[in-house]
Amino acid sequence: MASYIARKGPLVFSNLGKWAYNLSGFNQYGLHRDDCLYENEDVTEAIRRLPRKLYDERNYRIMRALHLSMTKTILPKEQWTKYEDDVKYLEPYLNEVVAEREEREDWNKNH
Amino acid sequence: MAFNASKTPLLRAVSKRGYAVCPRLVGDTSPISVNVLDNKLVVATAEASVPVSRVSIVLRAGSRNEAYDTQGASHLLRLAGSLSTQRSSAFAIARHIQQVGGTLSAWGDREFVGYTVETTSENIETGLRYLQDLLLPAFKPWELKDNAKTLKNQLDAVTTEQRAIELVHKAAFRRGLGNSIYIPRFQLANISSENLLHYVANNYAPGSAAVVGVGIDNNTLSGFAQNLSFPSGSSGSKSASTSYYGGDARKDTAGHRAVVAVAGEGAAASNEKEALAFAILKQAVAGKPTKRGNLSGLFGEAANCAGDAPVSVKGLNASYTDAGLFGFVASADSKDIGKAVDFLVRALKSGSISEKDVQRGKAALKASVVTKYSSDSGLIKEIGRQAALNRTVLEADALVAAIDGISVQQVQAAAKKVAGSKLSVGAIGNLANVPYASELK
Repeated sequence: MASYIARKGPLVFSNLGKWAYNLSGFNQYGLHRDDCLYENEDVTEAIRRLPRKLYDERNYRIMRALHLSMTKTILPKEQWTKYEDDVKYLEPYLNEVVAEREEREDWNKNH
Repeated sequence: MAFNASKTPLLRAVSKRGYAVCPRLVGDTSPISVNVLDNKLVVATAEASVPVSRVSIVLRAGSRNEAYDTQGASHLLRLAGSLSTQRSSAFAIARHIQQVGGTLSAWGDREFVGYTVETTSENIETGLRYLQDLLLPAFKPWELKDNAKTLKNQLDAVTTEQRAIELVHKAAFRRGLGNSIYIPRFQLANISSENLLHYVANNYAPGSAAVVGVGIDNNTLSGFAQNLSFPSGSSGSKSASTSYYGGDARKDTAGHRAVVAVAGEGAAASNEKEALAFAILKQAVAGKPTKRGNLSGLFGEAANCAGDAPVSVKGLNASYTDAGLFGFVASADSKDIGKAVDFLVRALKSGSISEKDVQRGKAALKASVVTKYSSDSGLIKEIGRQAALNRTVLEADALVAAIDGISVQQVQAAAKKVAGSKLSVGAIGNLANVPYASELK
C-alpha cells in the first residue's frame, strides 16, 4: 500500500549524524535502526502488522546479530549497514499505531 | 441539485423541528420522493413514523460480481463494514456511533452490498459523517486477519437450508449469480487486501448505487449524496449477464437429515410483470402457514400427500436483475426425503393453478408488501433495493395496484414457465435418497 512505503536513509543528512550513526555500532552487526527499538506495546503491535517479508528480514537480521555477538565478532566492513541505506521500515506502521493509541486516549479523556 | 437552504444549520433545524412535530402515523405508508443526481446516483427518501432516521448506501457489489479467484469478496465487504476506513479508524466509527445511540451495519446479498446507519433524528449528522467513510474502506491486512475467527463463526452459523439455497444457485447459474454469498472455505486466507481494494474500485460506482433514507428530507440527503466520494468513476464494471443452465450441486455430509432445494427458471426483476406474477405464484403455492403446521397451497398439499413423515417445505422465489429462480426447499429425514421431493416436483411440474389460489396469493402478497412498507426498517430495505435495482421506487399504492393488475393468465403462464424449464437441484446432508435433476419427471 502506498502509504506504507518506508523512508530510506536519514531525514536530514548531516556529517554529525553520520558520525553518531557509525559510533553507535549496531550497523556493524548488519542491523537497521528499527531493529533496535525498545519493544514497548506500540512497537510490538507495529511489528505484528509488518508484511511477512519485512518481518522475516527483521528476524533474520536480529538472529544474525545475536550470533555475531555470541561469537564476539562483527560483519566484514562491506556488509555494515550504511547511514544512507538504513531503512526505517517500521516507521509508517509505528506512526499509525501511536496515532491510534492517542485517538483512544483522547476519547477516554473526553467521554 | 441540493436545495441551498438545507446547507444552513438554522434552516435545517427549523425544517427538522417542523418535521418532528408531525411524524407519519404508525402503520401508514409514506410518500417517497426520488431524485437522480448529475452523476446518476439515485437518492430516495420517505417519511418516518418515529423520530429515528435511517440512511442506507446501497451498492451493486454483491457476490454476482465476483470472479472465480475473488469468490467471497462480498462476504469480506460485509465483514469490513466494522473495520477501519481510509479516513477514520474502526475505533472512531464504533465509539462515535455508540455515543449517539446509533447503529451502523453492513449487509449484502447476491446483487448488493449495503451500509445502513440508524440514529435518532437530531444525531443523524454524526451517522452520516461515518457512513460516508465506509465508501472508502482501507482493508488493513492485520484487521482482516484479526477477524478471521469471526468469519469462521459466520460460516459455521450458516443453516443447512441456506446452504441448499446456495447450492441450487450454483447448479442453476454456475457463474455470476451462482457465486455463494458466503466465502468458500478454501478462499479464507486467499483474498488479500489488494484484491478487495480492486473489487471495491470496480464496483463502488455512483452510476449503479443508491442513497436512501427514511426520516430525513430529500434535500438534506441529496446534499450529502452529492459530496460522497466513490472509489470508482460513474459507471463501474458491468457484471456479466447470467444465463440459466440447471443441473445438480450436491454436498454429502454426516448425519441422517437431508435438505433439498429444487428450482426452475423464474422471473427477472427487469421484467416487472413477470416478477410480480412469480411473487403471487409463490404466495399461492407456498403461502406462510397460518398456524403451526404445513404450508397452505399446492406445495403444502403435496408435502401432506407424501406421507406422515414430518417434512418441512418452504417456497423459493428469487428475482435478480436478469434472471430468477422458482421452486422449493424441503428438509426431512434421509429415508423420507425421496418421496417428498417426488411429490413436490410433481406439484411444481403440474404447472396448474386455480383462480382461487391466485386470489389468495394476491392477498397474501399485498399484505406482505404493505407490512414491509409500513415499518421504517422494512421500508429502508425495500426502497434501497428498488432504487439500486430499478433506479426508481414504487410507492406502496402503486405496487399494490400493480399486483392487482396481474391477471390469472399471467400467473398461470408463470407456473407453466417454471414447469417447462430444466430443474436445478441443490442438496446437502445424507443424500442417499435424493434424486438427481435428470431423474426428476
